[in-house]
Amino acid sequence: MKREHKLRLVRPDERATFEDEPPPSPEELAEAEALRASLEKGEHPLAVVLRSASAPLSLDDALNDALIERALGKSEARAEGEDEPPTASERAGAARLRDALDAPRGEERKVPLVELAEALVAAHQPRSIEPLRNEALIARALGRTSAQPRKGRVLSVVTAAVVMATAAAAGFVLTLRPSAESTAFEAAELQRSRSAGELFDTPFPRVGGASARVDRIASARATELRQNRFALWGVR
Amino acid sequence: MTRRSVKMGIVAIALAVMGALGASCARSDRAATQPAANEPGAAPVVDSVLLAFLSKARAAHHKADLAEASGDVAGAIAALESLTNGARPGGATPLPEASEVLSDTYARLADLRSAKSEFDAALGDVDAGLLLAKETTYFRGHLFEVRGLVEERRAKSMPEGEGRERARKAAMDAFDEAVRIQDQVISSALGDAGPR
Repeated sequence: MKREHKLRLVRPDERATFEDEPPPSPEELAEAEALRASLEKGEHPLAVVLRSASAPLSLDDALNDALIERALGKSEARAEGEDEPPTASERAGAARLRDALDAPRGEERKVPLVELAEALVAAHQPRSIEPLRNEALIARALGRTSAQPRKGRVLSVVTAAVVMATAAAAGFVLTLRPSAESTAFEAAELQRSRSAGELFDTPFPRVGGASARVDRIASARATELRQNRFALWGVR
Repeated sequence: MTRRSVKMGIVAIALAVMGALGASCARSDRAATQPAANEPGAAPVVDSVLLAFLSKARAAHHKADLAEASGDVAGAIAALESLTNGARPGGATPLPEASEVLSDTYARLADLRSAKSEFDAALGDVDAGLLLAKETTYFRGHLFEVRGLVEERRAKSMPEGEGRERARKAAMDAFDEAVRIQDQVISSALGDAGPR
């Protein structure tokens, strides 16, 4: 059967020992000492709860009356929307919030809801901004927006210039490089300009037929132009 | 790299490629229109400029056909003059085909003008055509034939007399020259094979 620990009462003057546990480490002892000091000073939330349980303070009269009213159900007679009377803790929290809101800007805010309250106030009734601070904010915003695109534009222009120079150099190399194709161009059998007399094997009629002759010449040379292009392209 | 720079880079590459292609095409055209290096003095090859001129010539002649068919001789002459007064491939020394087409166009102009009794202008067209058709070809022979036609019409338009006789003689001489040229062309075409 598995060995288990069992709870038992320990007298204050009795020092409990557990044989099967290792002795506490220095870190554990330091942590226990810090907890003990916090409990004695009443700073630890557990200490507050334990003190309230062992030695409760007397209730505030107003809070006592409010609690009695709530317990007796008299609060139901209030008009709808009318708040319950604040408790002492609520009044204390409100006082802390009021003091925090009245404090100058820039101080550390530890009171809850201070930032939310300031945001609500700014949205509902914003305060006028100081002219110098307004100018500084505008200058900073404009400087940020104008500086960032300029940097990107410079980068893009430089990049484009480099790419353009590289592409142009490549284009010139491709254009100026002597290739086998250029030799083929020169050696190709190209149809050359010459008399169109070979297209006509009989003398022309005395009158008329000029359009038909021009048609014939143009048609023949169009065919030869296609042949020349095919030859230049290397099509056989 | 920003999207803007990527776009500019793509545009730069496209421009460079287009430039290279354009240079290559220009170089190819030069190679096509100029004699080959191993053929000094060779004639230019048939290129798109020559075809453009021939296309323009076709359009001008067919436009003149339509004008003639409707009795608009002046319109026909204007259509043909747009060709003779325009640019010519080869400039001052036109390519052979361009010269022959132009000479044939001058011959047609001479025919049209002589039909309107504009005999001197018609003979001027014949002379202009002969300056272009200097070789012994059907085109040159046709111009002499048209010169004879113009002189014949002039003679018919004149009363009996010395002038009419001079025109008739000029017509006869022109027809003789036309026959002589056409005989030479035919003989040249037949070569040594003799009459067929």
